[in-house]
Amino acid sequence: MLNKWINKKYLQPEQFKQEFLNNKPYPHLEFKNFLKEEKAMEVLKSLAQEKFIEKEADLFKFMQTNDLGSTKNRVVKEFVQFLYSKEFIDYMQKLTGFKFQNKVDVAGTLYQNTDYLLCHDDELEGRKIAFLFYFSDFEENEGGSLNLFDSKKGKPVKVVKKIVPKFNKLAFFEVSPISFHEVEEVIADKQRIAIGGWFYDK
Amino acid sequence: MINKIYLEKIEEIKKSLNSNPDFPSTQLNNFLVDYSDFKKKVEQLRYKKDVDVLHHKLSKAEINIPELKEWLSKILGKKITHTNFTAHLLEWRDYLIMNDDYEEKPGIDVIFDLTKDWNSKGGGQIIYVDGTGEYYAIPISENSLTIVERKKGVQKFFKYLNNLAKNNKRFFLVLNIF
Repeated sequence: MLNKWINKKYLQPEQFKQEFLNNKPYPHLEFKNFLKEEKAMEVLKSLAQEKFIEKEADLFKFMQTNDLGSTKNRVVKEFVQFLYSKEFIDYMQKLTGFKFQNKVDVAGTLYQNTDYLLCHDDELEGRKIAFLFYFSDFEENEGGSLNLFDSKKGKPVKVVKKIVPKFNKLAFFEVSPISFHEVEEVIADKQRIAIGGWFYDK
Repeated sequence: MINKIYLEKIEEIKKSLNSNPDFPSTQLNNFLVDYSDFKKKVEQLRYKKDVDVLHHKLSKAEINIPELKEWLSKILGKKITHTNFTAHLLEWRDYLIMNDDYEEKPGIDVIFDLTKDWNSKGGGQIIYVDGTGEYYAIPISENSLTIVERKKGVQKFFKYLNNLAKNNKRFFLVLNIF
């Protein structure tokens, strides 16, 4: 299963564990070209057929699919089954050193010009790792980056790390009371497409 | 200073304020007669950037408008002893979101808007929510005074100003009465 989806250079998760744990401002990692190119392309094409619903509140404005666990699309379903698989959950456990439940939340997100998600910590009962598979290429000056904040006395202070969306990049971070992050406003006329979700603490 | 019509129509304004039981409110347009001078004064205040990432990012200043004391006392049916408004200046990427640490007690907000020809797609609206999914967005209208009664559980936020508001400034004053 892992061989079918993941690029060869990432097949030994243990070798990335220390980097993940040591990264500042809190444990996180980004892998460029994580999926096999043809698989990433297939998922992107199929994701475009999913229905995205507008979400808007004080904290955010973007579009999102329903949980992809119930998708009817064959390719998206295969990808979600891969994320749900014992092999991939075990892979993420080795990579992070955490233990996860079999439950994984997965949804597609679409940010367009003026869309944003302001700073928050993602904390919700049991969430342990937040992850994002990017399917769009952005430059830093086009917005849409995942910004990580450092913190002081449990409050976010300033952005110290920017993860710029690139096609076929996987980014993930530990969810904790200080995992403050935002999605910077998209300021270009292009679409930022991703599949993201959470792994849950066992 | 106050438009004569609003000095004379106290009872009508009180009635209008109570016409929406969910979000008691009323907006009075062309509120000030000497508006241009007042606008200059507000724009020239010394604004200071105020940031708490999890709640707000905006600029503030203080301005007292004692001329409103008597009129507001009549409208609200209680003695108003202070009229120290907080002047807000919002620019691209500014916002105020809801946060339990900043929960507002029930009361009355008096809002004076000084923003001209605003593109509503740029954000910046003052929006009241009651926690059940109901909301009330105050129309952005220059030289308008809006009175909103915040019932228990009603909170407000200032919608994030996106890049369509780039190079524009949004000014409004808020007085909280408890």
